[in-house]
Amino acid sequence: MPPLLMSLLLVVLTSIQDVDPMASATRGITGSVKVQIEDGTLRGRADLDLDSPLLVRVASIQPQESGSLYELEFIGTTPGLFDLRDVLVFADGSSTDLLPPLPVQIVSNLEDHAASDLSMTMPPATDIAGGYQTWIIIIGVLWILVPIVAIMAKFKQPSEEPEVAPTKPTLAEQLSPLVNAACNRNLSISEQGQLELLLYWHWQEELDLGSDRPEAVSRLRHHEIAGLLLRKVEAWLHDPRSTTPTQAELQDLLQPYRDSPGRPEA
Amino acid sequence: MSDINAGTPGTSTLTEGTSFADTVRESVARTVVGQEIVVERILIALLTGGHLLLEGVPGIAKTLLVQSVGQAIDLQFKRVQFTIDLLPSDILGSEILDKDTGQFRVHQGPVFTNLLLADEINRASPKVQSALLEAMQERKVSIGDRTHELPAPFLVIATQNPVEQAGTFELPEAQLDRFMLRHRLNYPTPEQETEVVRRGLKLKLKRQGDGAVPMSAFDAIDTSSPFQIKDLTSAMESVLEVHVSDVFMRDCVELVTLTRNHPDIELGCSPRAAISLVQASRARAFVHGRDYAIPEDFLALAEDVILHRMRLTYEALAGGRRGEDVLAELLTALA
Repeated sequence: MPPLLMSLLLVVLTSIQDVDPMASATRGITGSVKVQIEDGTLRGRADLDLDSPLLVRVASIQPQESGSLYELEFIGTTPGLFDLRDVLVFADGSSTDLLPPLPVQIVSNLEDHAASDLSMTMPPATDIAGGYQTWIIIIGVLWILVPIVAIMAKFKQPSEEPEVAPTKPTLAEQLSPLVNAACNRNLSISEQGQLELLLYWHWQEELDLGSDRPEAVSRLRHHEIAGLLLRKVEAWLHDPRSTTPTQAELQDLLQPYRDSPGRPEA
Repeated sequence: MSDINAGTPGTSTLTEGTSFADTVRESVARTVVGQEIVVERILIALLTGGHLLLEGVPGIAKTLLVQSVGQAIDLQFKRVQFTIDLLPSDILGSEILDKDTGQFRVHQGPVFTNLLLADEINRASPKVQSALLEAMQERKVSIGDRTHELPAPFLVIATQNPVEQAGTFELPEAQLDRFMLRHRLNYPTPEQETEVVRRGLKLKLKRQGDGAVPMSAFDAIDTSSPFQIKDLTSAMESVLEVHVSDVFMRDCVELVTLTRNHPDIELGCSPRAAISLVQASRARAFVHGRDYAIPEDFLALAEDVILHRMRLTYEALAGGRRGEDVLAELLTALA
């Protein structure tokens, strides 16, 4: 429809302040005006979003004898004087410039210097570092990558040599210094006790008498060779009537053990 | 006794020890087949004044054995079957009102004896166990407002059945520590069991008036007593003469100390364990005809003296470790 053919009649009624000829509304609050248009169909501009300082919608259209009476609802986000023609468009796409001005005023109840951005909100923390979605993606990638890397690292590890436990001294290695010490000097009480028990264990292994120590000792004392030697040691260490053996006697007594072959402990 | 056990001959202790032990063994053997080790342990307990805890399944002649040993040394013997409803006064005694005199008089309980067999001690309530164990420790009993000395010698031989634990009160470690020895009895060998059956077949009837009941093994106990209490006292004195070398003491103390540092042991042995080990070893040396103790003595007794005084950790038990295994490790580590 050619705009030049259109004749307009405007009746502006304010919903907020009837006394004010100019329609006015507090920002963020919907105001309304009524406009009579003889021809053509008005719509609010669909290309505007919330960033627009003024938005308008057609609330109702009432057919009249000549034309239609439009009730337009508008909402402003920024204080100031606006023209509704800027946010309206004819349904056929033609401009609304030929319409008479449709001024509306958006007023603010706040002081001039007060922050007045209605859409101002605290930015989410994730915005600082790229946003929520970015983080979700990063976490997702790590979730998959970390186990993969860990598994790969495990397989790539060079096969380490197993730790070699320090080998226990063999019975012979334990026995030998005590026997030598007994032949060369007086042993302490503790060393004497050790020596005697090591002799028992030595013979227990030598004669393969099983793992039961008490049982083995009982059998050892009855053994033809070991029993004789062990009873001599027993008498030396425990019999109050026995005299302390001379070094030569000790040498003879302990000679069989001096060169005993090393054998790992069970 | 062979000269190997006799060690250096020529002292009166040796002959006394072997004679005393052998005679008691022979006397008991006339009634009980086998169980020589248990007889030895009872003798050790008698000679040292310690108490003995026997663990074994029913029917392996625990009671018969103890009664036979008591009979061989002419000891007064009493037996109490412990049950859940037993009261301390049932063991210790109580004061009762004498109607004739109008005075309270003491009624002595079975604890007033030389040899008390506390059968299945873990069936009695902790209160009764404590009363008995206190008497064992102090060798005296308070009844009313008077304290009574227990006879000498006084020995408690308690038994426990290790298989039936329902409705029993396990003796805590502190009370187990009062027992010098805990010995676990085994089943007899097939040969010994055959002999037991054979002897059972020889038992006749015990007549009473016109009636009769079959004789039991208790009726076959040799009633002759080759020894008297004074002989036991003399033997106890001889045990005190048994020499204990510094090396031997070192071994015993070292073994007990090791129980306190082993990772599988939660509660190690008290010093009482070391004392018991040395004393019991002395008695064993005497029984074996020696007047000095040797490592064989404490090695033979270690299990009976140590095991009931230590408690393994939960982890060790869960891992299937046994006290015997840990003790074997300790004995190896001793050298």
